[in-house]
Amino acid sequence: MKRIVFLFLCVLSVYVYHLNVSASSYQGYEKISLSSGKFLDDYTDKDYRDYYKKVHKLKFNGWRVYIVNDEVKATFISETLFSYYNDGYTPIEYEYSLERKSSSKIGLSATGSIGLKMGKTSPKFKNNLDSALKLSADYSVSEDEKETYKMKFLVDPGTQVDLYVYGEGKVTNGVAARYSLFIRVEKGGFEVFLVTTEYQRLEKKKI
Amino acid sequence: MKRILFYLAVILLSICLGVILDKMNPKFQPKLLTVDTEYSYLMKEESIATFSLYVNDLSHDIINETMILRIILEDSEKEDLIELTLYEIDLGHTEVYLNEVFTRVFFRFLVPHLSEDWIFDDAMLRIELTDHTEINLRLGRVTFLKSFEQETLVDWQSLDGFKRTNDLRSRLGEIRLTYIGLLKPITQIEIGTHVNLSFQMIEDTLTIHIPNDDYLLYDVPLRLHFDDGTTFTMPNFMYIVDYQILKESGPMINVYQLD
Repeated sequence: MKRIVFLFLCVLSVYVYHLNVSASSYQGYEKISLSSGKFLDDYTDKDYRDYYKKVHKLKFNGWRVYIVNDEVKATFISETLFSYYNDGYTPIEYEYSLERKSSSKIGLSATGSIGLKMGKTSPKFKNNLDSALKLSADYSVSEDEKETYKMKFLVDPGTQVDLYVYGEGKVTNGVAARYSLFIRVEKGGFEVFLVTTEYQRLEKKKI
Repeated sequence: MKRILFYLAVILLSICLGVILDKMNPKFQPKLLTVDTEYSYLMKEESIATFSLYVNDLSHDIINETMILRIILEDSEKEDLIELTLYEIDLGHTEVYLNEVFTRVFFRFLVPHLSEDWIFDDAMLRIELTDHTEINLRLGRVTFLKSFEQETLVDWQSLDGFKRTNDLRSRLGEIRLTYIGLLKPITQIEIGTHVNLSFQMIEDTLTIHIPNDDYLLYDVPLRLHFDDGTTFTMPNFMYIVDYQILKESGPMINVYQLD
Protein backbone atom coordinates (compact mmCIF):
# COMPACT_ATOMS: atom_id res chain seq x y z
CA MET A 1 0.00 0.00 0.00
CA LYS A 2 2.83 2.36 0.94
CA ARG A 3 4.47 1.65 -2.42
CA ILE A 4 1.28 2.52 -4.29
CA VAL A 5 0.90 5.78 -2.35
CA PHE A 6 4.58 6.60 -2.99
CA LEU A 7 4.20 5.85 -6.70
CA PHE A 8 1.04 7.95 -6.87
CA LEU A 9 2.80 10.87 -5.16
CA CYS A 10 5.72 10.58 -7.61
CA VAL A 11 3.41 10.66 -10.64
CA LEU A 12 1.47 13.57 -9.14
CA SER A 13 4.63 15.55 -8.45
CA VAL A 14 5.83 15.09 -12.05
CA TYR A 15 2.42 16.21 -13.33
CA VAL A 16 2.33 19.24 -11.05
CA TYR A 17 5.88 20.15 -12.04
CA HIS A 18 4.93 20.37 -15.71
CA LEU A 19 1.56 21.93 -15.11
CA ASN A 20 1.05 25.14 -17.00
CA VAL A 21 0.96 27.38 -14.00
CA SER A 22 0.10 30.56 -15.73
CA ALA A 23 -0.97 31.78 -19.11
CA SER A 24 -1.66 35.05 -20.77
CA SER A 25 -4.27 36.34 -23.18
CA TYR A 26 -2.52 35.10 -26.33
CA GLN A 27 -3.32 31.52 -25.41
CA GLY A 28 -6.99 32.39 -25.66
CA TYR A 29 -6.69 33.34 -29.33
CA GLU A 30 -8.91 31.46 -31.72
CA LYS A 31 -5.85 30.29 -33.64
CA ILE A 32 -2.12 30.84 -33.28
CA SER A 33 0.74 29.22 -35.17
CA LEU A 34 4.51 29.47 -35.40
CA SER A 35 6.57 29.66 -38.60
CA SER A 36 8.99 27.14 -37.03
CA GLY A 37 9.59 25.47 -33.67
CA LYS A 38 7.08 24.73 -30.92
CA PHE A 39 5.01 26.56 -28.38
CA LEU A 40 5.79 25.90 -24.73
CA ASP A 41 2.46 24.11 -24.47
CA ASP A 42 3.67 21.60 -27.05
CA TYR A 43 6.97 20.74 -25.33
CA THR A 44 7.05 17.01 -24.57
CA ASP A 45 8.60 15.42 -21.48
CA LYS A 46 11.55 14.43 -23.65
CA ASP A 47 11.96 18.05 -24.80
CA TYR A 48 12.02 19.17 -21.17
CA ARG A 49 14.56 16.47 -20.25
CA ASP A 50 16.85 17.52 -23.13
CA TYR A 51 16.55 21.25 -22.51
CA TYR A 52 16.89 21.01 -18.71
CA LYS A 53 20.35 19.53 -19.24
CA LYS A 54 21.40 22.95 -20.58
CA VAL A 55 20.47 24.70 -17.34
CA HIS A 56 21.56 22.05 -14.83
CA LYS A 57 25.07 23.37 -14.29
CA LEU A 58 25.09 24.75 -10.75
CA LYS A 59 25.44 28.48 -10.26
CA PHE A 60 26.10 30.50 -7.12
CA ASN A 61 23.14 32.78 -7.60
CA GLY A 62 20.67 33.81 -10.29
CA TRP A 63 19.09 32.35 -13.41
CA ARG A 64 20.50 29.97 -15.97
CA VAL A 65 18.53 30.27 -19.21
CA TYR A 66 18.34 28.16 -22.36
CA ILE A 67 16.40 29.74 -25.22
CA VAL A 68 14.91 27.17 -27.59
CA ASN A 69 12.97 29.45 -29.95
CA ASP A 70 14.28 32.98 -30.29
CA GLU A 71 11.84 35.55 -31.69
CA VAL A 72 10.15 33.08 -34.01
CA LYS A 73 7.47 34.67 -36.19
CA ALA A 74 3.93 33.80 -35.12
CA THR A 75 0.59 34.49 -36.78
CA PHE A 76 -2.67 34.61 -34.91
CA ILE A 77 -6.41 35.14 -35.16
CA SER A 78 -7.73 36.86 -32.11
CA GLU A 79 -11.19 36.78 -30.61
CA THR A 80 -14.09 38.90 -31.94
CA LEU A 81 -13.62 42.41 -30.62
CA PHE A 82 -16.95 43.82 -31.60
CA SER A 83 -20.29 42.48 -32.72
CA TYR A 84 -23.36 44.57 -33.34
CA TYR A 85 -26.63 43.72 -35.05
CA ASN A 86 -29.39 45.86 -36.43
CA ASP A 87 -32.81 44.26 -36.46
CA GLY A 88 -34.54 47.52 -37.33
CA TYR A 89 -35.60 48.92 -40.69
CA THR A 90 -33.05 51.72 -41.17
CA PRO A 91 -29.21 51.72 -41.18
CA ILE A 92 -27.54 52.60 -37.86
CA GLU A 93 -24.25 54.44 -37.64
CA TYR A 94 -22.46 52.91 -34.68
CA GLU A 95 -19.35 54.42 -33.11
CA TYR A 96 -16.95 52.05 -31.45
CA SER A 97 -13.96 52.90 -29.32
CA LEU A 98 -11.38 50.16 -29.54
CA GLU A 99 -8.99 50.20 -26.59
CA ARG A 100 -5.82 48.12 -26.81
CA LYS A 101 -3.99 47.77 -23.49
CA SER A 102 -0.37 46.79 -22.90
CA SER A 103 -1.60 43.45 -21.62
CA SER A 104 -2.78 42.65 -25.14
CA LYS A 105 0.60 43.51 -26.66
CA ILE A 106 2.69 41.15 -24.53
CA GLY A 107 1.79 37.70 -23.28
CA LEU A 108 3.74 35.51 -20.89
CA SER A 109 3.44 31.87 -19.99
CA ALA A 110 5.37 29.62 -17.62
CA THR A 111 5.51 26.00 -16.54
CA GLY A 112 7.14 24.17 -13.64
CA SER A 113 7.99 26.28 -10.65
CA ILE A 114 8.58 29.48 -12.62
CA GLY A 115 5.96 31.94 -11.54
CA LEU A 116 4.19 34.93 -12.98
CA LYS A 117 2.97 37.96 -11.15
CA MET A 118 0.51 40.56 -12.33
CA GLY A 119 1.73 44.10 -12.73
CA LYS A 120 -0.89 46.83 -12.84
CA THR A 121 -1.85 45.92 -16.38
CA SER A 122 0.55 43.29 -17.69
CA PRO A 123 2.06 40.10 -16.27
CA LYS A 124 5.74 39.71 -15.37
CA PHE A 125 7.92 36.73 -14.46
CA LYS A 126 8.69 36.35 -10.78
CA ASN A 127 12.22 36.71 -9.36
CA ASN A 128 13.51 38.88 -12.19
CA LEU A 129 13.56 36.27 -14.95
CA ASP A 130 12.61 39.08 -17.39
CA SER A 131 16.05 40.67 -16.90
CA ALA A 132 17.88 37.35 -17.20
CA LEU A 133 16.21 36.78 -20.59
CA LYS A 134 17.81 40.02 -21.85
CA LEU A 135 14.81 40.84 -23.98
CA SER A 136 15.13 43.86 -26.22
CA ALA A 137 13.49 47.16 -25.39
CA ASP A 138 10.56 46.23 -27.67
CA TYR A 139 9.31 44.01 -24.87
CA SER A 140 9.00 46.80 -22.35
CA VAL A 141 5.63 48.42 -21.82
CA SER A 142 4.66 51.12 -19.42
CA GLU A 143 2.13 50.08 -16.81
CA ASP A 144 -0.67 52.36 -17.95
CA GLU A 145 -0.09 51.94 -21.66
CA LYS A 146 -3.17 51.83 -23.83
CA GLU A 147 -4.12 52.89 -27.31
CA THR A 148 -7.62 53.91 -28.33
CA TYR A 149 -9.00 53.88 -31.86
CA LYS A 150 -12.36 55.33 -32.68
CA MET A 151 -14.32 53.73 -35.49
CA LYS A 152 -17.68 54.28 -37.08
CA PHE A 153 -19.64 51.51 -38.76
CA LEU A 154 -22.78 51.73 -40.78
CA VAL A 155 -24.83 48.68 -39.82
CA ASP A 156 -27.48 47.97 -42.45
CA PRO A 157 -30.91 46.74 -41.37
CA GLY A 158 -31.12 42.99 -40.89
CA THR A 159 -27.34 42.56 -40.63
CA GLN A 160 -24.71 41.93 -37.98
CA VAL A 161 -21.24 43.48 -38.14
CA ASP A 162 -18.29 41.74 -36.46
CA LEU A 163 -14.78 43.09 -35.98
CA TYR A 164 -11.94 40.58 -35.72
CA VAL A 165 -8.24 41.06 -35.19
CA TYR A 166 -5.56 38.87 -36.66
CA GLY A 167 -1.89 39.56 -36.97
CA GLU A 168 1.74 38.79 -36.43
CA GLY A 169 4.01 38.56 -33.45
CA LYS A 170 7.24 37.07 -32.11
CA VAL A 171 7.56 34.14 -29.74
CA THR A 172 10.57 33.44 -27.53
CA ASN A 173 10.54 30.36 -25.33
CA GLY A 174 12.82 27.94 -23.54
CA VAL A 175 13.69 26.68 -20.09
CA ALA A 176 15.29 28.34 -17.09
CA ALA A 177 16.49 27.42 -13.62
CA ARG A 178 17.19 29.72 -10.68
CA TYR A 179 19.95 29.01 -8.21
CA SER A 180 20.56 30.30 -4.75
CA LEU A 181 23.83 29.33 -3.00
CA PHE A 182 24.35 26.55 -5.58
CA ILE A 183 20.90 25.14 -4.79
CA ARG A 184 18.36 24.93 -7.59
CA VAL A 185 15.26 26.62 -6.25
CA GLU A 186 13.11 27.03 -9.37
CA LYS A 187 12.96 25.30 -12.71
CA GLY A 188 10.55 25.34 -15.62
CA GLY A 189 9.66 26.61 -19.05
CA PHE A 190 8.96 30.20 -20.05
CA GLU A 191 7.40 31.84 -23.08
CA VAL A 192 7.11 35.44 -24.19
CA PHE A 193 4.77 36.53 -26.95
CA LEU A 194 4.98 40.00 -28.47
CA VAL A 195 2.37 41.35 -30.87
CA THR A 196 4.03 43.37 -33.63
CA THR A 197 1.20 43.97 -36.10
CA GLU A 198 -2.56 43.66 -35.87
CA TYR A 199 -4.82 43.59 -38.91
CA GLN A 200 -8.46 44.42 -38.40
CA ARG A 201 -11.17 42.69 -40.38
CA LEU A 202 -14.77 43.75 -40.64
CA GLU A 203 -17.38 41.16 -41.50
CA LYS A 204 -21.05 41.63 -42.22
CA LYS A 205 -23.64 38.89 -42.24
CA LYS A 206 -27.41 38.67 -42.58
CA ILE A 207 -29.38 37.87 -39.41
CA MET B 1 49.57 76.96 6.03
CA LYS B 2 50.32 73.74 4.22
CA ARG B 3 47.22 72.19 5.76
CA ILE B 4 45.03 75.06 4.52
CA LEU B 5 46.50 74.74 1.03
CA PHE B 6 45.81 71.00 1.13
CA TYR B 7 42.16 71.52 2.10
CA LEU B 8 41.78 74.22 -0.56
CA ALA B 9 43.25 71.87 -3.17
CA VAL B 10 40.86 69.09 -2.11
CA ILE B 11 37.86 71.42 -2.33
CA LEU B 12 38.93 72.77 -5.73
CA LEU B 13 39.52 69.25 -7.02
CA SER B 14 36.08 68.17 -5.80
CA ILE B 15 34.44 71.14 -7.55
CA CYS B 16 36.34 70.36 -10.77
CA LEU B 17 35.30 66.71 -10.54
CA GLY B 18 31.68 67.73 -9.97
CA VAL B 19 31.73 70.02 -13.01
CA ILE B 20 33.32 67.32 -15.18
CA LEU B 21 30.81 64.69 -14.03
CA ASP B 22 27.93 67.12 -14.64
CA LYS B 23 29.18 67.74 -18.19
CA MET B 24 29.63 64.03 -18.82
CA ASN B 25 26.03 63.36 -17.83
CA PRO B 26 24.05 63.97 -21.00
CA LYS B 27 21.31 66.50 -20.36
CA PHE B 28 17.81 65.32 -21.14
CA GLN B 29 16.63 66.84 -24.39
CA PRO B 30 12.88 66.78 -25.01
CA LYS B 31 12.22 65.59 -28.54
CA LEU B 32 9.27 65.12 -30.82
CA LEU B 33 9.13 62.75 -33.78
CA THR B 34 6.77 62.51 -36.70
CA VAL B 35 6.72 59.79 -39.33
CA ASP B 36 5.82 60.71 -42.92
CA THR B 37 2.31 59.34 -43.29
CA GLU B 38 -0.50 59.48 -45.81
CA TYR B 39 -3.58 60.64 -43.92
CA SER B 40 -6.92 60.58 -45.69
CA TYR B 41 -10.31 61.43 -44.15
CA LEU B 42 -13.86 61.79 -45.35
CA MET B 43 -15.48 65.14 -44.77
CA LYS B 44 -18.57 63.93 -42.95
CA GLU B 45 -20.43 65.30 -40.00
CA GLU B 46 -18.51 64.60 -36.77
CA SER B 47 -15.62 62.91 -38.61
CA ILE B 48 -12.39 62.85 -36.64
CA ALA B 49 -8.91 63.05 -38.18
CA THR B 50 -6.05 61.61 -36.13
CA PHE B 51 -2.41 62.61 -36.59
CA SER B 52 0.29 60.69 -34.70
CA LEU B 53 3.29 62.32 -33.03
CA TYR B 54 5.85 60.77 -30.68
CA VAL B 55 7.32 62.52 -27.63
CA ASN B 56 9.93 61.52 -25.07
CA ASP B 57 8.65 64.05 -22.50
CA LEU B 58 5.04 63.63 -21.44
CA SER B 59 5.14 66.80 -19.36
CA HIS B 60 5.91 69.06 -22.32
CA ASP B 61 3.42 71.83 -23.10
CA ILE B 62 2.94 70.59 -26.65
CA ILE B 63 0.74 67.76 -25.44
CA ASN B 64 -1.09 69.89 -22.91
CA GLU B 65 -4.39 70.96 -24.50
CA THR B 66 -4.69 74.02 -22.26
CA MET B 67 -1.31 75.33 -23.48
CA ILE B 68 -2.19 75.11 -27.17
CA LEU B 69 -3.32 78.35 -28.72
CA ARG B 70 -4.08 77.14 -32.23
CA ILE B 71 -3.10 74.47 -34.72
CA ILE B 72 -2.80 75.11 -38.40
CA LEU B 73 -2.46 72.61 -41.22
CA GLU B 74 -0.61 73.99 -44.21
CA ASP B 75 1.02 72.89 -47.41
CA SER B 76 4.65 73.90 -47.64
CA GLU B 77 4.52 73.83 -51.44
CA LYS B 78 1.37 75.92 -51.82
CA GLU B 79 -0.27 78.66 -49.84
CA ASP B 80 -3.13 76.49 -48.64
CA LEU B 81 -3.74 76.47 -44.92
CA ILE B 82 -6.57 75.73 -42.56
CA GLU B 83 -6.98 76.14 -38.81
CA LEU B 84 -8.00 72.87 -37.23
CA THR B 85 -10.32 72.34 -34.27
CA LEU B 86 -8.61 70.17 -31.70
CA TYR B 87 -10.95 67.45 -30.46
CA GLU B 88 -8.63 65.71 -27.99
CA ILE B 89 -5.07 64.60 -27.29
CA ASP B 90 -4.70 60.96 -26.36
CA LEU B 91 -1.68 58.84 -25.43
CA GLY B 92 -0.84 55.57 -27.18
CA HIS B 93 1.81 52.87 -26.86
CA THR B 94 5.48 53.42 -26.08
CA GLU B 95 8.42 52.54 -28.33
CA VAL B 96 12.17 52.74 -28.02
CA TYR B 97 13.97 54.79 -30.68
CA LEU B 98 17.75 55.35 -30.48
CA ASN B 99 17.78 54.29 -26.82
CA GLU B 100 15.05 56.70 -25.80
CA VAL B 101 11.47 55.87 -24.89
CA PHE B 102 8.86 57.66 -26.98
CA THR B 103 5.13 57.66 -26.41
CA ARG B 104 2.77 57.84 -29.35
CA VAL B 105 0.45 60.83 -29.03
CA PHE B 106 -2.78 61.03 -31.02
CA PHE B 107 -3.83 64.54 -31.96
CA ARG B 108 -7.51 64.25 -32.90
CA PHE B 109 -9.23 67.00 -34.88
CA LEU B 110 -12.72 67.62 -36.19
CA VAL B 111 -12.50 67.13 -39.95
CA PRO B 112 -13.20 70.46 -41.66
CA HIS B 113 -16.11 70.75 -44.09
CA LEU B 114 -15.06 71.91 -47.52
CA SER B 115 -16.96 71.93 -50.78
CA GLU B 116 -14.23 70.07 -52.71
CA ASP B 117 -11.53 67.50 -52.01
CA TRP B 118 -8.52 69.16 -50.43
CA ILE B 119 -5.03 67.71 -50.81
CA PHE B 120 -1.98 68.81 -48.84
CA ASP B 121 0.91 67.19 -50.69
CA ASP B 122 3.58 68.32 -48.26
CA ALA B 123 1.51 68.79 -45.12
CA MET B 124 2.95 70.65 -42.16
CA LEU B 125 1.30 71.05 -38.77
CA ARG B 126 1.98 74.37 -37.09
CA ILE B 127 1.31 74.25 -33.35
CA GLU B 128 1.24 77.60 -31.59
CA LEU B 129 1.46 77.57 -27.81
CA THR B 130 0.15 80.15 -25.37
CA ASP B 131 3.74 81.20 -24.53
CA HIS B 132 4.08 82.27 -28.20
CA THR B 133 6.40 79.44 -29.17
CA GLU B 134 5.66 77.82 -32.48
CA ILE B 135 6.53 74.36 -33.72
CA ASN B 136 6.31 73.29 -37.35
CA LEU B 137 6.02 69.57 -37.90
CA ARG B 138 6.07 67.57 -41.13
CA LEU B 139 3.13 65.18 -41.33
CA GLY B 140 3.38 63.79 -44.87
CA ARG B 141 0.34 63.90 -47.17
CA VAL B 142 -3.11 64.87 -45.93
CA THR B 143 -6.31 64.58 -47.97
CA PHE B 144 -9.84 65.56 -47.00
CA LEU B 145 -12.31 63.82 -49.26
CA LYS B 146 -15.73 65.12 -50.12
CA SER B 147 -18.45 62.81 -48.90
CA PHE B 148 -21.05 61.80 -51.47
CA GLU B 149 -24.52 60.62 -50.74
CA GLN B 150 -24.49 56.83 -51.03
CA GLU B 151 -25.59 56.50 -54.63
CA THR B 152 -24.82 52.88 -55.13
CA LEU B 153 -25.14 50.25 -52.44
CA VAL B 154 -22.54 47.53 -52.48
CA ASP B 155 -23.63 44.55 -50.43
CA TRP B 156 -20.18 43.99 -48.97
CA GLN B 157 -19.39 41.00 -46.78
CA SER B 158 -15.91 41.63 -45.43
CA LEU B 159 -13.20 44.27 -45.49
CA ASP B 160 -9.53 43.99 -44.59
CA GLY B 161 -6.10 45.04 -45.77
CA PHE B 162 -2.51 43.81 -45.76
CA LYS B 163 1.04 45.01 -45.98
CA ARG B 164 3.28 43.97 -48.84
CA THR B 165 5.18 40.74 -48.24
CA ASN B 166 8.34 41.45 -46.23
CA ASP B 167 7.40 45.12 -45.74
CA LEU B 168 7.67 45.71 -42.00
CA ARG B 169 6.52 49.32 -42.21
CA SER B 170 2.97 50.23 -41.32
CA ARG B 171 1.87 50.63 -44.95
CA LEU B 172 -1.05 49.03 -46.72
CA GLY B 173 -0.16 47.09 -49.85
CA GLU B 174 -3.66 45.99 -50.72
CA ILE B 175 -7.26 46.22 -49.57
CA ARG B 176 -9.65 43.32 -50.02
CA LEU B 177 -13.41 43.73 -50.16
CA THR B 178 -15.71 40.75 -50.59
CA TYR B 179 -19.29 41.27 -51.70
CA ILE B 180 -22.52 39.46 -52.55
CA GLY B 181 -24.10 39.64 -55.99
CA LEU B 182 -22.89 41.54 -59.01
CA LEU B 183 -20.98 44.81 -59.04
CA LYS B 184 -21.53 47.38 -61.75
CA PRO B 185 -18.41 48.02 -63.86
CA ILE B 186 -15.92 50.07 -61.82
CA THR B 187 -14.23 52.96 -63.61
CA GLN B 188 -12.02 54.24 -60.79
CA ILE B 189 -11.01 53.45 -57.21
CA GLU B 190 -9.46 56.01 -54.88
CA ILE B 191 -8.40 56.26 -51.26
CA GLY B 192 -7.82 60.00 -51.13
CA THR B 193 -4.07 60.14 -51.34
CA HIS B 194 -4.13 57.88 -54.41
CA VAL B 195 -6.60 57.93 -57.31
CA ASN B 196 -6.95 55.42 -60.09
CA LEU B 197 -5.70 52.47 -58.11
CA SER B 198 -5.26 49.20 -59.96
CA PHE B 199 -7.61 46.42 -58.93
CA GLN B 200 -8.78 42.96 -59.81
CA MET B 201 -12.07 41.17 -59.31
CA ILE B 202 -11.95 37.44 -58.86
CA GLU B 203 -15.21 35.70 -57.99
CA ASP B 204 -16.73 37.81 -55.19
CA THR B 205 -13.52 39.51 -54.11
CA LEU B 206 -12.32 42.95 -55.11
CA THR B 207 -8.58 43.34 -54.48
CA ILE B 208 -7.23 46.88 -54.63
CA HIS B 209 -3.47 47.37 -55.06
CA ILE B 210 -1.84 50.37 -53.41
CA PRO B 211 1.50 51.54 -54.85
CA ASN B 212 4.57 51.54 -52.67
CA ASP B 213 5.78 54.89 -51.37
CA ASP B 214 7.88 56.36 -48.58
CA TYR B 215 4.90 57.08 -46.37
CA LEU B 216 3.01 55.09 -43.77
CA LEU B 217 -0.60 54.31 -44.67
CA TYR B 218 -2.97 52.43 -42.38
CA ASP B 219 -6.31 54.25 -42.07
CA VAL B 220 -8.11 55.31 -45.25
CA PRO B 221 -11.60 55.61 -46.73
CA LEU B 222 -12.39 53.82 -49.96
CA ARG B 223 -14.33 55.30 -52.89
CA LEU B 224 -15.51 53.29 -55.88
CA HIS B 225 -16.73 55.07 -59.02
CA PHE B 226 -19.02 53.13 -61.37
CA ASP B 227 -19.55 53.55 -65.11
CA ASP B 228 -23.05 54.98 -64.62
CA GLY B 229 -21.53 57.95 -62.76
CA THR B 230 -22.52 56.76 -59.26
CA THR B 231 -20.16 56.15 -56.35
CA PHE B 232 -19.87 53.96 -53.29
CA THR B 233 -17.88 55.13 -50.27
CA MET B 234 -16.57 52.99 -47.45
CA PRO B 235 -15.72 55.19 -44.45
CA ASN B 236 -12.28 55.31 -42.81
CA PHE B 237 -11.17 52.01 -41.38
CA MET B 238 -8.02 51.30 -39.36
CA TYR B 239 -6.64 48.38 -41.36
CA ILE B 240 -3.31 48.02 -39.55
CA VAL B 241 -2.33 48.57 -35.91
CA ASP B 242 1.45 48.42 -35.46
CA TYR B 243 3.46 48.46 -32.26
CA GLN B 244 6.93 48.89 -33.81
CA ILE B 245 6.40 51.89 -36.04
CA LEU B 246 9.58 53.81 -35.19
CA LYS B 247 11.79 50.73 -35.37
CA GLU B 248 10.71 50.04 -38.95
CA SER B 249 10.25 53.55 -40.35
CA GLY B 250 13.92 54.69 -40.48
CA PRO B 251 14.37 57.54 -43.00
CA MET B 252 10.69 58.50 -42.84
CA ILE B 253 11.15 59.77 -39.27
CA ASN B 254 11.48 63.52 -38.67
CA VAL B 255 13.16 64.56 -35.41
CA TYR B 256 12.44 67.88 -33.69
CA GLN B 257 14.21 69.24 -30.60
CA LEU B 258 11.77 70.83 -28.18
CA ASP B 259 12.62 73.74 -25.88
